[in-house]
Amino acid sequence: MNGSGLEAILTGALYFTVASALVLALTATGELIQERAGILNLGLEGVFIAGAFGGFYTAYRFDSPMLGYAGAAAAAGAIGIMFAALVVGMKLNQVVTGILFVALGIAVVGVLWDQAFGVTPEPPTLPKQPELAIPLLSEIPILGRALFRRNVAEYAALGIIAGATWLLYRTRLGLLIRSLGEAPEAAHFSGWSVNGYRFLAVVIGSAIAGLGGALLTIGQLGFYAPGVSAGRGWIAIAIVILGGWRPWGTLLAAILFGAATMLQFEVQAAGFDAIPHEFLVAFPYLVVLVTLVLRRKSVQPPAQLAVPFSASTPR
Amino acid sequence: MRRMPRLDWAARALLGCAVGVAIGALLLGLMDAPPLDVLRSIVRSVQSPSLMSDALLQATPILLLALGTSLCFQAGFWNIGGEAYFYGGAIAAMTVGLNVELPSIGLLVAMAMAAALIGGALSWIPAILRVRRDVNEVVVTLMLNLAMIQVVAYAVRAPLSDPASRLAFSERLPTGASLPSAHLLSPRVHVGAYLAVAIALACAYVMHRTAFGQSLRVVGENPDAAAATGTNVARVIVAASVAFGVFGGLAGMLHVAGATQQLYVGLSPSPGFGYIAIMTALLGAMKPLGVILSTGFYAVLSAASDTLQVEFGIPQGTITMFFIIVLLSILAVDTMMRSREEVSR
Repeated sequence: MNGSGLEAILTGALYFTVASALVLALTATGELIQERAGILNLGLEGVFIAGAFGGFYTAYRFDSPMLGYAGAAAAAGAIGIMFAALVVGMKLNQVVTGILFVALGIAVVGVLWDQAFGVTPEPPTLPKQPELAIPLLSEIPILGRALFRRNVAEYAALGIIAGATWLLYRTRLGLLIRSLGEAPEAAHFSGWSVNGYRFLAVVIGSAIAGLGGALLTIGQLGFYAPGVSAGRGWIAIAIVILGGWRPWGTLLAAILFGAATMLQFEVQAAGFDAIPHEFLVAFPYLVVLVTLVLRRKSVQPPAQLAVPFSASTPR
Repeated sequence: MRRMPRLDWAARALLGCAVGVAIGALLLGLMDAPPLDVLRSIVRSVQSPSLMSDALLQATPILLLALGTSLCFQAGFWNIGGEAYFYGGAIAAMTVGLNVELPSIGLLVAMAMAAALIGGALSWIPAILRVRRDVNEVVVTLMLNLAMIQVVAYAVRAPLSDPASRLAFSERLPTGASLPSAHLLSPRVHVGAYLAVAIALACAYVMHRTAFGQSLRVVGENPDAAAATGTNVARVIVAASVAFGVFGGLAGMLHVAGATQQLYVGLSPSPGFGYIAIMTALLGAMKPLGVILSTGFYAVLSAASDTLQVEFGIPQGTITMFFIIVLLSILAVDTMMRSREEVSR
């Protein structure tokens, strides 16, 4: 294999890795905000699907990707409001409610999909989003293509991830959110509304996770199909765990899974058929299992994760 | 993390019915379907032996999976790997059924044992990871589900594929590997239906009359207190999980040997037996007898759903939505009543 051939392969591989990693990192950031506030949202897969479909549908109907992203954030945020009302407001068991929300999201989106496009002979598609090349930087071999020649939404995703990190670690609101997950009674006795801010964290986090879904369907694939998420919402939850509930760890773990997803497609595309392609599809799921097992046990989740808070709760 | 349940059995059932009727009427109103006509149509479905045998065929695997789900959820072990165990059992049963020469009874037993073994082995993974490495079982079991579907896709494409068919279907099981008919409603209903109910009764006995059932609940309510009072929490969790896998594997075996005679992707139809089982387990308050009722209820609605779609344009996914909304409402009332009890105490 000559040098330029190898360069082309590496360029493509890195470009694809960054694409999958961005979707996963954005979705995981949405979960991270909620978990740091003490709320375990296992309904993330449902939120992701709602964003993926809601975003695609809005973008398609109004012929505007921008409106699409707004629609995704609204749809996912609405699910976040329902989830928060149940687990923060009414203190339902977060694990059970989350699992049910995944099934609910899939069922609702399935019905809406049938109603909207069920009889369409050709699956609807969106035009490819234009890429924005950053001068000079985008000329760097291999890296330039992957990092500096992407569409606006992908840059924006990176911006949201960075913004969320800044919010969590550099603002009073972020400090408050983190304290909600570790020591909510401290926040309570300082006069903050624990459940009010937990509610807010769930809604914001869900909206961000929904944007992750829309980034996939509007910003990358240009279509929606049932099953398009392929468990990305669940993988994002695993990424939060693997990342040790920290933004940088989350980003690193997302890149790892981006690479696993890329590898699966590249090996298939290369026509390497010693491994059945079904096993390649399952490869990222196995990576999740193995990395969860190998993870350092010393990194602990937020102390009050999934524990409801009432001011009168005896401790 | 506390367990949810409580509310007395009868209160819960009444509440469930009331909430269900209210939400059902609301959903139907949204879809412009006259509730009474829909009810009449469902009643007509119940009177149709062919639709009710469909319901029984679906209810059998769902019941087994829901019993396993109940065992795990009772212990606060959120194992949602039903799909993986079901498919694992189905693959194991097909592999044995297609490749082993034995007289019928022996073959069926061998298939069931292989299915139970594979299901149990798969469900041992999330349990051992949880007790040894503190790995979140929800994520692990979900990954198992996603991975096992790919294994099924591979199995029906390559090792078990039917050379005569270009579609992704496995070869058909020989007649010796088919379950006998239950002589109930229609010849299609297989004896697996009886077996599932028998296992449900056994579960009811274990849960309510044995020390193990007691320790399940103690572990679910407060694992620290359970450990402090001498319960081996890890062993309870592993046992509940492996039992779930065995039931799930058996469900897969019974379904291929009794209902379909072959394996294919989508053998567990959308939204998936394993996920339906979570809903019926919760609706049945994770008690075997309650689970029998809730599973039967789901199966009847599901069997009627084709008719409802044709007659009233009610989309298929509506039943899942209906179930989840009812469940969330019951859980909400349940939780609120319990917290009120705690405050007044």
